[in-house]
Amino acid sequence: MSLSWLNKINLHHLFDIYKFLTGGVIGLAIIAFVVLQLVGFFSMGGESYWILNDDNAYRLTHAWQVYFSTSYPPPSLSNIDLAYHYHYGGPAIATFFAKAFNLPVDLVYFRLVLPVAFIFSLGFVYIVVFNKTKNVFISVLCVSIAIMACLNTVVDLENLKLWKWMKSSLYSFLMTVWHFDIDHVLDSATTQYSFWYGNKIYDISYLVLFLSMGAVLSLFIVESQIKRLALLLLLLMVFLFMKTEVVFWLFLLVFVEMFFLVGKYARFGWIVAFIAFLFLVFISTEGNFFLGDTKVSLFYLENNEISFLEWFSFFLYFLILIDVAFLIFLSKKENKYLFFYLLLNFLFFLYVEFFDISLTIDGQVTEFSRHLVAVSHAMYAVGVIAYIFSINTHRSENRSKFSYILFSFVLLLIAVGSFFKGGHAMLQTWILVSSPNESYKVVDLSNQRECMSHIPRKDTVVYTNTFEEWPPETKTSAMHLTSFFGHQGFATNYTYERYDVVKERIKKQKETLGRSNTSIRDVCGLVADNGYAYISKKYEYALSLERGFIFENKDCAVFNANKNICFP
Amino acid sequence: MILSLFVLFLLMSIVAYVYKGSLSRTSYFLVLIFYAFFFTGFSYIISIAL
Repeated sequence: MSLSWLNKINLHHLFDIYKFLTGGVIGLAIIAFVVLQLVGFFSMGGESYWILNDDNAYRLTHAWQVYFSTSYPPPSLSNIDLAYHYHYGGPAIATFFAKAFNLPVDLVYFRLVLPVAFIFSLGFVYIVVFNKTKNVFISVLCVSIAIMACLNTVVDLENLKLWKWMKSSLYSFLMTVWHFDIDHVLDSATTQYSFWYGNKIYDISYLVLFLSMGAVLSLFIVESQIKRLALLLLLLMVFLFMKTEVVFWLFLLVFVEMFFLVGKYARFGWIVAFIAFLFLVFISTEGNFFLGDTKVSLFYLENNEISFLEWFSFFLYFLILIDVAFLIFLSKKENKYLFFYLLLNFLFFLYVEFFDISLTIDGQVTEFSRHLVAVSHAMYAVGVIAYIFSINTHRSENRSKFSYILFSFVLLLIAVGSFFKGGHAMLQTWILVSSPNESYKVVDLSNQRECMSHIPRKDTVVYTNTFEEWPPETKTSAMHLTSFFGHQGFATNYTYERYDVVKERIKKQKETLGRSNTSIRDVCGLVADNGYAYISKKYEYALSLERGFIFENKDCAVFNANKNICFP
Repeated sequence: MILSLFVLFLLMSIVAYVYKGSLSRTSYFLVLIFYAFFFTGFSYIISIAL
């Protein structure tokens, strides 16, 4: 088959058409933004306060945290007296615009920051691809693929009817883009590199996803005039959106190492890297000891069950992976290193399969999730490898048809890899398709919001009896309570902030507020001076609290439960 | 807020310097806006951390 038509589409020399098409893409992005807002607005019922899953509430709480905080990491609003490192990038953008234009944080976050991030990221793909290929057709194709990737759909052709797929795609798309499953939009759009979830390595694909995103950004490095500075900027970007600071330190480690490896002091490179490496492993395992209590742990870990050996192997693998990628990048003998790189990826694939490193659903590891992790991992690996390969092919001036096709293919893979949050998204979508009732929960929380609006925000602490009301998939959180207006919760989130102290507080709250025969003395023992109680009517609650009654509707009631009320 | 604007300005200056001339004009401005958008959050975090 002749492929000469591919070259004919190259519009590099027709500058006016290029400008016209670029303008068209921008125009389409704006239209897409407006349409998405409108469709979302009407399909979700206008003014009511819908919220999706627990992640939405969690991240909105983060936005409030950043908004009210004057220090970093911002003190947790979910659990009083805690502060931890997390990826506050998205919330900080929202805060910036909210403060600059004096707008409500939730409005800015849900209706401005996330959709704009989404649209921009698509534009970003377009720019990167176009500047590399100078081919509008391929650029638009990559954007399309990226959009499709954002649909987060996995089609099981064996078992799935087309309409069902369409329905779930649309639903998923709406959820993702309008209703802003925050993790999906910002993570997909800018790629969040979360390596740890629970006490296991959550999604191995992030390792390679990280690399593939790095590959996309390295396009900029390749094209930019000052490469090291660009690399530094890349670091900053990564720091902004990663889930834990682990990645930042790792990347810094590699950066330092590479600086020494290729620079004047090359002979010290490996020694420096090794010392930094040991330091990282040490601080990962002994971080809490090193830095005091859990208030400021260096890495956000949900518990401390990760052993020294696990950290060691994790860092070592990461280091090797990055190094090899860099070596291939720097070297002209790409084939030799490519083989090594492939081998490493394959070994890691096996490691995932045999050593049960996988994500869990409610504490249970499933075969399916394990395979998803591995498959997505492999996908990104292929993407990155092929990309690196193509860079080297592309660098030489003889562009055969084969290398051209390969390059296009690789760009597609990178577009997908950059946007597709691998295993997590696939898994969630799979659950969405296979058992819709078990997956995304879009809940109208207008009543809950109304209750919370009657509690003053400043200098108050909210206690609650509800840990099952919402989100339905967890029984250890009521994180929506703090998300509406940025109230300070006593202990409203154990799902994501797995500290022992939170567990104890929640237990105490359940014992005191979560039964009908609670005495006023019990309540006063629990609630601080400035305490308010949010009581979900779904569960038993203490009638004696009615002394400080403030407001109620059919779902909830709010009480002033401070000591003056208890002992009038 | 002012500090974060200052940090943002610094970061954008670096980006503008790095990418000068390597991209087409339209792409260049898009990249600048793209970076500006994401750097707002970063500069805000820097400002509260300081």
